[in-house]
Amino acid sequence: MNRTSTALSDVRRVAKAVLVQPSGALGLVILVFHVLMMVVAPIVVPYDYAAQSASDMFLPPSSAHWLGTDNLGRDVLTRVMLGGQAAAVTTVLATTVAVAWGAVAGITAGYRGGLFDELFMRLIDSFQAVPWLLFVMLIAVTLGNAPIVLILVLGFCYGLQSARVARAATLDIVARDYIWAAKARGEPMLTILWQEIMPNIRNVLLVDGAMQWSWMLLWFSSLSFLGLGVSPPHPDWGLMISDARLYLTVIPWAALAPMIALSTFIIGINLTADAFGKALGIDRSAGEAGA
Amino acid sequence: MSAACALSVSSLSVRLSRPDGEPRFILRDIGFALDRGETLGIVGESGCGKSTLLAAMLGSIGKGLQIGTGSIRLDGREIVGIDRQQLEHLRGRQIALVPQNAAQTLTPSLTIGRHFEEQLALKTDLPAAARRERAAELVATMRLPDPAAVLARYPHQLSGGQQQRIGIALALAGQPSVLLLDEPTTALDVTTKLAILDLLREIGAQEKLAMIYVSHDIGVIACMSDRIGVVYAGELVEEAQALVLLNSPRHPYAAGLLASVPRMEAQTMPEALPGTPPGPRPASAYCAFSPRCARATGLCRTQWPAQTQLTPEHRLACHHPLEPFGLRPDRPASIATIRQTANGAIQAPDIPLITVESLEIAYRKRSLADFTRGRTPQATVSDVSFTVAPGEVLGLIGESGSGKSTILRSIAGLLAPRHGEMRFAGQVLADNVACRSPDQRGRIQMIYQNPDDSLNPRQSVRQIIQRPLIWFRGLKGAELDAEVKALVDTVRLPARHAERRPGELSGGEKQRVAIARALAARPSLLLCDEITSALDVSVQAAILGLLDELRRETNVAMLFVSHDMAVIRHIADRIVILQAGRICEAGATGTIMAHPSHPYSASLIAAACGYDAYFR
Repeated sequence: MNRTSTALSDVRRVAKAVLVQPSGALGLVILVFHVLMMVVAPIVVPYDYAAQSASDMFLPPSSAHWLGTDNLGRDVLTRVMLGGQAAAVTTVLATTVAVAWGAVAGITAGYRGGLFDELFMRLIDSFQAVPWLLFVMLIAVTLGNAPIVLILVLGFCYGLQSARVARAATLDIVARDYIWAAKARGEPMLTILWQEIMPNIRNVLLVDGAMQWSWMLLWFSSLSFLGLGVSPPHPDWGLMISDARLYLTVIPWAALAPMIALSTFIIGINLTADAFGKALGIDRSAGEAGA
Repeated sequence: MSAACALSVSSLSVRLSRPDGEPRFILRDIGFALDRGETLGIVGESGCGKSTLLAAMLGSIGKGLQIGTGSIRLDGREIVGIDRQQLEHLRGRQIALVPQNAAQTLTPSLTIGRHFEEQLALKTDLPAAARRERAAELVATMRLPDPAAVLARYPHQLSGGQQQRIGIALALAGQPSVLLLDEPTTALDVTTKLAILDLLREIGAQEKLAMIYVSHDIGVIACMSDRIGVVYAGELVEEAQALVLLNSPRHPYAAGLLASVPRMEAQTMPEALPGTPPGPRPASAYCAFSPRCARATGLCRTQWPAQTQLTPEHRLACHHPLEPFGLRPDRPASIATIRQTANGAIQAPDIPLITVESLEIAYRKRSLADFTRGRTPQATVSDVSFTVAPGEVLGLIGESGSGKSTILRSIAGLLAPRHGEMRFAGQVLADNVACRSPDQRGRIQMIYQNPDDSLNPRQSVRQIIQRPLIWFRGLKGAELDAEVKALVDTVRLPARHAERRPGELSGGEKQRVAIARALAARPSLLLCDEITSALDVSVQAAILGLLDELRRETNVAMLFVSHDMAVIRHIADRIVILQAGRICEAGATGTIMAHPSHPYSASLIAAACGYDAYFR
């Protein structure tokens, strides 16, 4: 019980520390707005996102269509409101995969050290030398672009970076005497990793994961832009930008609206993550040292 | 103060600059004067404002602090309140600082020569050619061989002692009249330390420098100072000529601090000073030391003691000062008398608890590069053998890098030796801790040097102490709680500390938690790795007293590693002296102290005794 109450007060303290930073408060407001929008959009959108109408093509913003219509006569507002969902859900899951496997691999490598660590790091180096957009495209083309495939592939690629961060954070902890004391007690490796190391690097991983999420969003949208992410006619910001780019001079709103939505979402995540990092006392630039 | 004074400080106070509320003082009403050629030693525990005092004299107190009142005069010239440019002009030319760790102040990518070039260009008016000459001259003054070669080197190519000498030479480049020394020898080995101190004394006399030497090492202060000032809670509580203060301190704090220093000559354990210094205080109306003072009365708690002049040379701020010569080393021992058995009587024990035979250890693991090149890392420890009997304390002494800690880690099973055998209670001790029985692991417990590093900052004291109780003894529920409580009590911590995290404790308290964790496993052998070196002397004395008591109560044996001969002398029955990974001498403490046979042990003992000469 004691433990829960301290955990609760910790959460409250951190939340307060985030909100007192202007950038943190702004980021959180943007983030909450976007998340709320994604949740309520399916209920409140004015039109069917797939409804095409030859008579409504290329309409400028008006009271009927606040953000105008696109080249197929679909309501842009509707599609922008719905367009973040798939990206957000996929990338959240992919980030979880990335941080999970990256953390396990990085912590193990940092803890084991020696030859194991060196081989593991060289392996990661070689993976990072692969132009991964091509790698993802290759996978998506051969295995299809089902969400589960994208989640696993993105998760794998981003996990490499998480592994580096986790390893660097672990290296800092693993030489401490309290780890030696646990080893001298003969504690099993998993206990040491979970009880002694994890609490010390949890915050670093959380903040790093949040930053990863924003990168992942950008890349997921790029995949959609290239036609490898969300399949039409389902709305997606990347896909919308891709569709609208041919008519940029005619209906700029159809491209601008999803661009703004995507950028604000990413800015919101970044500001919040940075503020969290500061609140938790993590210098992100130092987090990657030694990788 | 006469104009001849190189440095005079009067009623200086520094406080936290908070606009609201009562001002809190870091330094309060400090005053002293220093002539050229004179050295003032400043002592006090950590957090008493020593470093802030130095910073104030350089005109660079940190952000959030401000000088409240007072004046600081350099050669008669006021420096409080002058602008940045003037200050920068003074620094290096009139007043200079030798920092604690020179290695960190040297830029790794610049040669030593470039450092001098920069400093001389900034702080002197010499032309370029003369600057090079002057640099070589300065390096030569530091008794570094082959100045030209030294100037061409990079900082990492010099040893710690050499780097510190360069630090001093750089400080002297602008020919300052006042030299501030901020614990310049703390990071150095005993013998290197003595050489640096010698050098500083010589240069001080030669150049007629006014020096302020700040340290928590009272032995060093005793060697260096003409006068000594004792700082407590930001106040100069006593200031006198060195010999007077060392032998007859009048302020109870000064006396307590001196009594906690382990001495080579003393027959008793050093005495602990209870409590910790307070943080920044409001301008309170009572004596800051009264909560820790045995002599405190109602007067001390209601009235701030003003400074009084006992003699022209001796100033004191105390309502109830000790009588002159109040600190007598021959008064009855309060903790324990020094072990008389140590006078050569102890032989190697018949039934040893642990036997170590021809141990050879290499510290570094083989890396990928080692594998590919077929290299084997060099051994840090070779051919080391000794035994420890139950209830015995074996001191392991040597300078840094001599392999003391390496040996402890091997015995703890954290570092597999390359050769050699270890036997514990008659059974072979496996190299790797994972291969040892739980009983063996529990009975050998290690206490680490730095409690900041050995306690997990994310766990509470309770979690830290109860882990070995659960792991080794399978306790749970009420029994577990009771045992945690008992252990916290054993190491003299208040029960409420159990719910705190290490970050909320002082250094001494943290080390007590580490001791409690080791005791939780009911060890028969404690491996103590320089456990007092990160602590103030007053706290060190308390920890030594605690260990001595535990030894007598539980008959636990100890392998006590230290670089401090005086500490070892007070706690160890026998000692082993290590040099570069090999045993150079071993035997009963009393015998070795009286008649060291190896020149290296003789020099270590002489170094430790050197300080004692300054005490009565």
